[in-house]
Amino acid sequence: MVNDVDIALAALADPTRRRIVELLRERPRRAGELVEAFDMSGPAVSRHLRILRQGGLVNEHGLDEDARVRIYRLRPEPFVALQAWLDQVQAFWADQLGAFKEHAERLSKGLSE
Amino acid sequence: MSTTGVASAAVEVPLDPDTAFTVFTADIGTWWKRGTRYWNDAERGQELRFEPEVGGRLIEVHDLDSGEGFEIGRVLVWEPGRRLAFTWRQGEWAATETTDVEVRFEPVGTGTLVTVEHGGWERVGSASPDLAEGYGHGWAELLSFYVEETR
Repeated sequence: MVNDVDIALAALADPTRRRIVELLRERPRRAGELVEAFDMSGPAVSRHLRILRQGGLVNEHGLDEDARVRIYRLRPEPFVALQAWLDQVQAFWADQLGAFKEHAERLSKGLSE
Repeated sequence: MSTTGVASAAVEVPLDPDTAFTVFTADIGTWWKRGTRYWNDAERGQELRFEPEVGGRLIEVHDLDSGEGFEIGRVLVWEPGRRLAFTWRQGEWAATETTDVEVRFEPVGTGTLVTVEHGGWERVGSASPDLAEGYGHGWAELLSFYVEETR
């Protein structure tokens, strides 16, 4: 789980890879579609896809009727691990912002009296 | 489901943006909650303090007279009433391992929406176990995520 989070974060540290993930959130897509979505060479996009595959964020499989067509889809597991981890950071800030809000409300009362 | 690796939290306060920014920064020594989750050294930590300028330090003050203690980070953006950004690190991380916190102040009616975004975790090498301990509420909260499908 910890490794999942580290690997997921490293894979997501790049804006192109984040964009690929966003595209795959909508639906699975063909490799060709993903290449067309970017203003860069096929091999460059393929490199990013490989990093996402190695990190376990996406998987790739062929179509039944044509194995040469590669389909990419997201694997949910690393995102669940990442979200669980981010939830903890969010709870940390939600706590402190709650304390800030209480302080601001006390001040605001003081200002209006 | 987050796909960006950025944690965010927001709150609305009954102050105008300029006042909210001033209170957030100048009064952090008063409002920042105590407790081991929030301090590098909860024993020695007296208050948090911002040096109010770009390049200024965010310090967990251990000595109120000198103002010295643990440097949590440095101010990257100081735009009163609008935006504050600073780096954030924990004592056990390597000096180069810093994350980024951005705080935005937006007018909403007669008050201000304050949003915190905390990212840059990919720069912290394998700090997750410490982090989970430092920021987490423990397993109950962690597991609640698995039953909470929508956000």
